[in-house]
Order: sequence, then C-alpha cells, then structure tokens
Amino acid sequence: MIIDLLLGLWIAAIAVLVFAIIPALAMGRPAGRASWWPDMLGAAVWTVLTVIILVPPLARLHLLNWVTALMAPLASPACLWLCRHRGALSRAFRALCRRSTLRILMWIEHRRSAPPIVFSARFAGSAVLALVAVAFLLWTTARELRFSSPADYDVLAHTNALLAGGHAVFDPAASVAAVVTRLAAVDPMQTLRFLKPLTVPGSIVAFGLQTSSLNAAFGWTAIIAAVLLSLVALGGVHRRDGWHGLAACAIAMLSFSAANRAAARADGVMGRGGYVEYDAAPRQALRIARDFADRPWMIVAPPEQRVEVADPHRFMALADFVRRFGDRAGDRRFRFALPGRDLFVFVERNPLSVDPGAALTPARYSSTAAGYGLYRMPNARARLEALALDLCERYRRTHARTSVYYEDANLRIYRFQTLAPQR
Amino acid sequence: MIDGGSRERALDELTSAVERTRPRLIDSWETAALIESLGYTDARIRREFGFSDTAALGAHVFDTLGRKPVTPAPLASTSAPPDRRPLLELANSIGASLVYALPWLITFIAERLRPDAMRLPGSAGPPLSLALMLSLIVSGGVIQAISRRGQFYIGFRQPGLAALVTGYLLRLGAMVAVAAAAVGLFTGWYFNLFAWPYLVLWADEFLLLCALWMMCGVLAIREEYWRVPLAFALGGLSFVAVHASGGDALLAQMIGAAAAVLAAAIQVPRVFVHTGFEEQPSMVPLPRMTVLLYRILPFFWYGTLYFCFLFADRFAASASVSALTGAPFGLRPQYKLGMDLALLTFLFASAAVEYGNIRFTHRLRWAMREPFERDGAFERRVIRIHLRVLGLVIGGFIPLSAIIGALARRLLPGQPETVWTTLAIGDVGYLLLAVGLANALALFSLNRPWSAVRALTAGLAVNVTVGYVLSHMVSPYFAAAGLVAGAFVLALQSAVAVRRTIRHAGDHAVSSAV
Repeated sequence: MIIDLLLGLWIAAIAVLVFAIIPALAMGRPAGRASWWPDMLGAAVWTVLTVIILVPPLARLHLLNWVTALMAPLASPACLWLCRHRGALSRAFRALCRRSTLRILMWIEHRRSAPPIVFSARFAGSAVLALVAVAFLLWTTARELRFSSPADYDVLAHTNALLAGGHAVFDPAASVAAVVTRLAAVDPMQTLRFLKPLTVPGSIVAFGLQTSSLNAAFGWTAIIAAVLLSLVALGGVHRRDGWHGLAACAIAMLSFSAANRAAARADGVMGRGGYVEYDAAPRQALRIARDFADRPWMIVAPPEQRVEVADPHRFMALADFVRRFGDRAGDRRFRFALPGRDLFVFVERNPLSVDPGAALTPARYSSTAAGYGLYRMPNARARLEALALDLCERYRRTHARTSVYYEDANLRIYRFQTLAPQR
Repeated sequence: MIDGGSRERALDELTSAVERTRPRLIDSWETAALIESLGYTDARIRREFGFSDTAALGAHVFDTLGRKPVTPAPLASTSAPPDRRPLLELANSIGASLVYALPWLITFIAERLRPDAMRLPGSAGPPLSLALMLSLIVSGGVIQAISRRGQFYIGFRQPGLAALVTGYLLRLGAMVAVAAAAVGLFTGWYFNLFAWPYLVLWADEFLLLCALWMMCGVLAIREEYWRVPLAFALGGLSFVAVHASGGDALLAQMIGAAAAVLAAAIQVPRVFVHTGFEEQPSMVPLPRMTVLLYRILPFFWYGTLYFCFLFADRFAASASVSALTGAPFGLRPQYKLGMDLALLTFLFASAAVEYGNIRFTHRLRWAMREPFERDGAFERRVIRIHLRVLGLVIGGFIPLSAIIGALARRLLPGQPETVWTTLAIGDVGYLLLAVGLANALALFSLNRPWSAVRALTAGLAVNVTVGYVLSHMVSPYFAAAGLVAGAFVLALQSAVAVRRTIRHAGDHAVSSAV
C-alpha cells in the first residue's frame, strides 16, 4: 500500500507540475494579484485544452512520444507569448534571450556570494500540508487499482491506442492520461487510477448524477473551474482571466461530448458505477507484463485484462479458451496451440458478482470480446469460471511445467509453460 | 599657452596620424573615436587645439581629410591582394578538411570491406551511434569557443594567456559533458530507452568522445594540422591491435578512443609552448570569465547548432523507425549508406568553404584599405567578393559530389535505388548547407555573429520540424527532406543577412569587421 501511495504521489506531482506549475510560471502572475491559485488554475485549464486538441493528431502521426509530451506544458504559454508579442516577435525573443543569458552569467559571477536559498517556515508548512492532503485523498479514493466504472476501461483502451500511435482517438481523459503516462513513465492504468482523485470535485458531482465516468468527472471539474475563473474575472485584475473561463467551458464541452458519445453507443444508458473485476486481477496482469517483458507470454482472462496489457496479441478471452480447449485439456498428448511460451490463466474461485448497474452498461472495450455478456451475468460468469477451473485442474494433473502463479481467496492464476512453436 | 604656429603643426600631425590609422574614414564620429583612441581627451584638445571637445575636432579633421584629393594608399597601388599565397591557403584548407574527412573515409571503407570487424555485439550499435552524435553536439560549442579564443590569443603572441583561457573553457566543457552524461543516463533510465549495461556504455563512450573532440579543438588552435591525424592514427592503431589480438569490435573501439584521447592529451601542452617568436609571458590581467563567456556565446551556439543541424535528419529517421515499426532506435541501412556518402562529400567539400572564407577575409581586408568612396562602389565590391566565394563553394562541391557518387556506384554495385536517391537528396541538402556555412562565416567576418546564429537556428527549426513530421507521417527516408528544407532556409536567410549587412550597415559593419 505504501508503494501504491508513493506511486500515486509521483503521478499527482507530475500531473500538477506539468499541467499547472510549469505553465503558470511560464505565463507569469499579473501585477496586482497576490495569490497564485487563479493563474495556476488558468494555466492548468489552457494546458489541458491544448493537450486535448493536440494529442489525437500527434498520435495519428506517430508523433506522441516523451519528447512531444515534454513540450505539452510549454505549448499554451508559448502561444500566449506569441500572441502577446505579435508584430515584434524578433525583438521580444532577442530581449528574452539576452535577459536569460545575463541572468545566468550574473549567477555565475555572484554564486559564491549569493545568499543560500532558504524556504520560509510558512512555505515549508504549506508544502507538507498539501502533501498530506493529497496523500489522504489518494489513500481514501484510490486504494484499488481496478476501476469503479466500466466506461473507464474504454478510456484506458483509448489511452493505449493513443500511446501506440497510428490512431486519432478523441477522448479528453485519454489524451491527458497519455501525456501523464509518458512523463511519469508508469502504466496507463495507474495513471487513470490516480487521475480520478485529482478531479474529485467533478467526480462527486458525476457520481451524484450516476454518470461516473472519467470524462464526465473531467467535464464537471471544468465547469467548477469555469465558475471559479469567472468569479476571478469579475475582479478585473487582468483581461486574460475571462479567457481562462472560456477555455474551461471548452474543456467541459469536449469532455461531455466524449461522455455522451459513449452513452449514445450504449443506447442512451449512462455509465453507472460498479466493479467488473477483482482488484488482484489488474495488479497481477501488470505484474506479469512487467516481470515477463523480455519473454513471450499470453494471458487468458475476462475482457478487462485485454485493455490492461496494452498489446491485444498477448490476450485471449477466457470464454474462447474454454470453448477451444475445454474437452481436450485432460489428454496427456494435448498441447496448447498458442504462440506464448508462458500462458497465464485467470480463474475466479469465487465468481465476481457484477453490480447490476455496471452489468447493464455496455462498454466498447468488452463488445469486441466474444460473448461479453457471459462475464456480466452472474450465472453465466459462475458457469464459465467453473469450466475454466476444471480445465486448468485437468491440464495440471496430466502435464508437467504447470504451477499456480498467484492465489488468493477469490482469484487463482495458473501458469502453463508451453513449448515454443516448432519451426 | 601654445602659439598659433605650434598649434597648426600639432593639428597637421594629428590629421596625418588619423589618416595613417584609417585611410577610409566613414564619418566624423569615427574620426572622433580615432582621436580619442590616440590619447586625446576633451581637456587636452581644448588646451592644445582650442576645440571644445573631441566631436568638434573629429568634425574638423574629417572635413580636412575629405577635402584632400584622393590618393591611393601605397598598398592599394597594385591590383593584387596583399596575400600572395593562395595555393598555400588552398593546401591549408584541404589539410584542415582532411583532418576529419580522412578518418571518416577510412572508417567508411573499413565498414564496407570488413563489416564483421566493425560489427558491435548485441544491441550496442544504437547507443554508441547516439553517443557519437550527442558528443559532437555537446562539445561542438566548446570546440568553437576554444578555437576562436585560442587563435585570438595565439594571434597576439600570448600562448600563456591562450593556455589559461583554453584551460578554463576545457574545464567548463568537461563539466557540461559530465552534466549531459548524467542527464542522458537519467533520461535513458527514466524513459526506458536502453537497458542499464547499454546506458553505461553510452555514457562511457559519450564522455570519451567529448574529451577527444575538445582536445582536437585545442590541437587545431595553431593550425598544426598533423596533430589531430596523429591522435586519430594512434587510436586507429590501438583499434587494430586489440582486434587482431582477439578483442571484439566494442572493446577495440573503446580502447581505440581512449588511446586517441591519451595521444591528444599528451600533445596539448605542446600547443602552448613558446616558440621564441612570441612575447615573453607577462602578467596580463585576464578578462572576467563571465565577460569572456558572454563574448564567446555566439561562437558557442554556432558550434552547437551546427552539429545539431548536421545530425537532425539522422535523429528523426532513427526515431521514426522506432515509432513506426517498434524496432530499436536506428537508421535503415539504405538511408545510412546514402547519407554517409553525402556526408563524406560534405566533409571533403568543407575545404572549399574554408578556403572561400579565407579569400573573403583577405579580399575584404584589402578592399578596406582603399579610400572611402560615397557612390556605393565599396558595397558593390564586397558583394562581388561574396558572390565569388559562393561560386567557389558551389564549384567545389558539385564536382566532388559527382566524383564520389560515380565512385560509389562503381565500387558498391547491387545497392538498391533508394541508396542513390538518398545520396542525391543528401547531396542537395549538404550543398545548401555548405552555401549557408559560407554565408555564416562571412557574417562572422563582418562582425555579425548573431545573424549567423539566427540563420542557423531558423534552419535547424525547419530541419527538425519537417524531417521529424514527414519521417513519422510518411517514411523514415523523408527525414532527408528536412535536411534539404532546413539547409535551404539557412542558405537563404544567411545570404539575405550578408546582403543586408553589406547594403544597409555596410560601412559600419565593415569598419569593425575581420
């Protein structure tokens, strides 16, 4: 749990740094304003909007990588700078270069005599308080790796598609998650897990309205941000405050548009919350992907793991597995005709009872897997898991090089080391 | 009190002194500045000549000299430029270009004749290629700074000062290289670019090569062109010896690079030895190092941007192979062969750029010795010199590219057509780059270093953007389009900058040029 918390703090720190702090510092604080938060919020809004707009075409052209992701926080301040100095760009750029150069040279000149940087006790106190608050937020809201809404698995699938490149998927939450994933160098599922607490105001509203998808949470958070920024704009400190509010409205519009598109695909049924897998399943799927990165492997599991392992060629649906090999598994001469050397079969000892709301929410990721209804209906799921358990046990009794890779009260993962295909 | 006769005589002497110092005066302000440089203050001028200040005296002297009939300076009486050793200069330029072109050619031939001998084990190829390119980019700026400042002090016959300043810049370069290696290690580990053993290998090779390039920069200060080839030759011998004794290409390469660094390091102190022609070491106070750094900044950026430009297409092509196919970072063999051949042409043709720059400097200096004419003849003359230099560069590059292309087609039969297409596109790109570099060097001679840096920055931005986007959108081969587009922008913008300098700020620029 401590490792999870540290991971969450890392992802939150990267997200805040990239989307709020760096852009806010680059944009600067207008004269006459004592507080930084309106500018941090405004900078975050513009950076998110830039990312939402830029990431799909970048991914389509295979241009979304860590270099372009690093440029994301500077895109909106750069646009603002270009707009501010239009007509005299060359002069402004020259002045900027000269100022920066002289600042560095002056630092070199006076670095020995410069007073050491001392953080005030108030600043240190605020930082520690913020850290504790974020840790508490993550501890209470993101203890589990599995998603609380089937629609979020769609976002994960979109994030993987954006990261793989070649596809222009329009999904605001996935675009933001793709950039954070690249910069935090973590798995996209972990990013999405910890992004949700960061949109907690919108998540609460979305949950209240029974539309608990990440895009809906994004939309509501943007609305709340727009209201706050409009209130700031009423103060009349700087004319750009109004534009910040407009950008927040644009994010809300784009996020709701993505959430509504998902709902339209689901015949108007809005995504209600509910778990569709045990928490150990994604944890073990990610562990396998990490530990066996340099070897061929394949997992056999319900369709959620298909989007968790990123590469669809490393996944086989449990129903397909049972249908193909169920009747031959006890035969000593039988071998799995699968290209993977290590085969991991996820079987639920106690079949998960999917929440009716989640069961009725069709998700795009699972519709591609054959017979996804089998995994949502309690009886069908229980029957399938029982067949899979029987298959694995029969195979285990009659074959060598088999073991149980992971087991707890609910889930068992078999590991079958199959032979490499003959050439 | 000074009487009238003495005052007139003193004024005549001062006027003659100004005329001797600067036969081509531009305006009264320049005259005033010259008078001040001869040691005259306002008080002294009031006391000795009765003028209120240097500006008034400058206007008077400028008018006096302007009324005098134009008499060509003794040096201008002959039509030949002051330097009568064009063949020696050409040989020097060729020697300077061969320093880098020959090792490249030898490596290229060795790769073709004995590919197994040069093949690196495992996946060591991409990190070592990256180390080579990044080492040149990181040390390129320091090399330029060392070269310019070192030659400046050696030109003043102050090898002691040259050693001091060069040592400071070397230490600075070493710190930058170590910091870059640390950042590279962190980036490679954080973004999972290479496995740890290869990251360590990358850092090792990167630091070795940075040290080697910076030492080579020091060795070239005195234009003793044999020193760098000697270091390379010792490195090459070590490579061959290790390989012959059973070591693999990786070990041989590392030991070869280390031997070259050692050979260069041993020679470095010899560069600053007093030859007897220099003044004896004196206690001259150094400029403040921050002031020195500020002065050499344009040269630093020029060196860094130049190598960024040179390798931008290779970075884009390698990254696109990785992004489009999932294969490790690296170039397609056909692209590599085509661009290696084009780069070989460029390295040989850089002799023409070097020679063109020397001729430009000499002819410009010669033109400046002639009396000032107000009808724009001087500008026209400088433009003619510039055009002649560009002609020299283009005239040197095209035959060389034709020879190398024809030889390559004959010696490398059976290569796919993409190799020759890439070579042709690469040649066009490098030709434009050579023109751009000739213009950039002209801008340096005209005391407009920041204009050269600006043109190179614009070219690099276009190179990276076009090459990166097209190579990812279409095919890795389209990275070469970035080179052509960027080089075109560089050539165009630098040519416009040279023309603008000559036309609009010609006299003022040229008066402080060379």
